[in-house]
Amino acid sequence: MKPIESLSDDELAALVNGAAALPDAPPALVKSALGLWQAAQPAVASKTAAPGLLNKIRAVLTFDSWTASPAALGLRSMPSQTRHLLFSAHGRDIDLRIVSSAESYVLAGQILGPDEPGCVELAIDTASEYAARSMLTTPLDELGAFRLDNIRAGTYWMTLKFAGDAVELPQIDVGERTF
Amino acid sequence: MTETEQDIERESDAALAARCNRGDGSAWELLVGRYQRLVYAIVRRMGLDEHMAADVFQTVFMRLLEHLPRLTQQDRLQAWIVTTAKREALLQRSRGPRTVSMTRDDDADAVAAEWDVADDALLPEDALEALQSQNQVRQGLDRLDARCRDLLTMLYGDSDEPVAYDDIAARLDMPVGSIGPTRARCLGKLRKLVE
Repeated sequence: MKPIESLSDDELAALVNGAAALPDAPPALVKSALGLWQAAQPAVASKTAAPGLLNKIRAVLTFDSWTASPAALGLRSMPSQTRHLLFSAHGRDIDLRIVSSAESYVLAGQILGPDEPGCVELAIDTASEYAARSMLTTPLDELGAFRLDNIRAGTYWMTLKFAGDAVELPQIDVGERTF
Repeated sequence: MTETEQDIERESDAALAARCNRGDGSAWELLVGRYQRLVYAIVRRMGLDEHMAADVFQTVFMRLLEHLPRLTQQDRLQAWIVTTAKREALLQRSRGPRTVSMTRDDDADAVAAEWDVADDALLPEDALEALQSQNQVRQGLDRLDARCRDLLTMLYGDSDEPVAYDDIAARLDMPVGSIGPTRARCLGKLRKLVE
């Protein structure tokens, strides 16, 4: 069978016909499959749980300067080489800037929220060829800021660790703008 | 749906598998949503009745959950799921004659003809590939904007009873003359979504 991207309009239309007819699995089966996850997890960590366990929190992307239109920013153009990302997670905002520097990048950011000590862990996507690389870790300074230099283009996962919480950011793609 | 949610839906299988391995349950929800139709279609087309299909469906996702941390080629996740679904369905069929399972349709004596076949050659590779392509296109359809999705579904969703252009124009509040060009643009969008 030809790859979908090389199908003619008529061939793709025929595929749409089959696709639209593909039935959903019964809701009870889907619910049961979703429930497998919870059943497989160890007891959920919480702040009241045993010391040493971290509450896992997933941050949500709330702003990306590459996807915001110039009009929305009140700008006529986007001359800056800096990509600005904002994430939000349960009362903490994370301001992250990705700056191009020679052949690498600098990831600099600051935690906006409670004044608390913590550190930043940066791991490259385990699906990539650099899977064997070790994780980078840097502590937050007294202003809640951090900086990671010499980061190569790629897909990364960033986790902010505090006394009782581990805040996971969505996947971050570091590299040149392609659009 | 917000832009962020759409971005999450566009994540590759490898990225979702990696998130699952990091303990992110929302990635598991997306994986189940992405493959539930494909797994169900495979096990039903292997001639399993409703109850046996349910058992195999659960087994496939249970094995996937167990296997995710050991999956070395995460970009081959779909292939792993398809192979496992087919193998588990064959195993279930080989055990089938020992028990008799009643379906809801047994009461009405009207088992759906397209599922009512029991033959090991039922699901050859080309049929399996077609199902995978259909599942990919279905995911693309789900992510299309509502206007394009409605148009393509009306045009191609039911080949036995195609909707007349006049009806489509009335339902979508568009001139009949713009259906053709819009159709081409929508197919182009769909093609990009499933690339």
